[in-house]
Amino acid sequence: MSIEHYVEGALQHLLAEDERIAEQGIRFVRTDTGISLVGEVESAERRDLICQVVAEAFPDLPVRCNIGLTRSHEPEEVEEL
Amino acid sequence: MTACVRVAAVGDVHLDADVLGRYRPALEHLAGKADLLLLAGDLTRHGTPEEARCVAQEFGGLAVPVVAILGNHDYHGDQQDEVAAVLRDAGLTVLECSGTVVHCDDTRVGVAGTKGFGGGFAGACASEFGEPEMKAFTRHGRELATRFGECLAALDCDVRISLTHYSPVPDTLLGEPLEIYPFLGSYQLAQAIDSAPGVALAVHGHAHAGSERGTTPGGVPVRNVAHPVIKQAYNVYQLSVPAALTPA
Repeated sequence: MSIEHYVEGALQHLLAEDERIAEQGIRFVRTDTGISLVGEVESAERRDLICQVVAEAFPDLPVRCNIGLTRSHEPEEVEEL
Repeated sequence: MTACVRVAAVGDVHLDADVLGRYRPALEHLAGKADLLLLAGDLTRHGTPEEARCVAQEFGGLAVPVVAILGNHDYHGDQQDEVAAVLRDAGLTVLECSGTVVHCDDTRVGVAGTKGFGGGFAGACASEFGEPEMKAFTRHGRELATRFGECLAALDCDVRISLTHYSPVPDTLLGEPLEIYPFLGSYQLAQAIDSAPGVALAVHGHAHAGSERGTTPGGVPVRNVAHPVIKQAYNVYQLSVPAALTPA
């Protein structure tokens, strides 16, 4: 299935404007059959909710979730400027 | 020996109840790594006082001073004043077209901050022309940059730092779609930074898919510390105190 141009626009609005998501840092790329959501969020709960909301909004669109969790470990290096 | 200051920084942490505690283990050791912590905006998801209380819990009570600005997410709920008040009650310094001086031993570290705004970069920027909405968009960025520049230049300090949410340069947007650069930053912020004397570091966030390092046309190091960019709890930058201020 090819993705309609207008679906991409609607998807971008959904990611930012749906109050459950409110993400501007998630990108999507076309795959052979649908789309792949790409980016990083702060919790697994947010990642799962994004994929759920997108799947609900576009039930005929195969969605692959490639969203990761941003690591929050302590830094080991200092950059000298 | 040359004196130095260590500055920790992170932005775009987007705190809410589901994230509480994620940063705290790394923050507990901050005193041994840095003299102060800068928060480069987008501290919340929707800009609500409830989310701000999560920020206050996560970043309050640290062993080093915390200086923050708000980002566009923190304005989403139209409660930015309440958000800032919650953070201030927790001991954070919140800047908006204002500055503060932090004393790190004998060194006065000046930080001026603003959310900043979009508008684009030289050769491809918005102008105050046409519809009222377009004029308002352009004017907002211009006014913030002007007021911010005045605050930055006026700081009475030994080391001067710029803290913005939007980017002052396109360098650190590399990785973002070129089409959205005008929504990610403005050259007018860089112009303000370059107009102030001896800025040692310009920190910003906002561009999750951007890159970390850049330089203003005037040679000031710019660092994009958006959390998805730095991929750790915070980055630490070591700044040299100008030689004239260092005891022989």
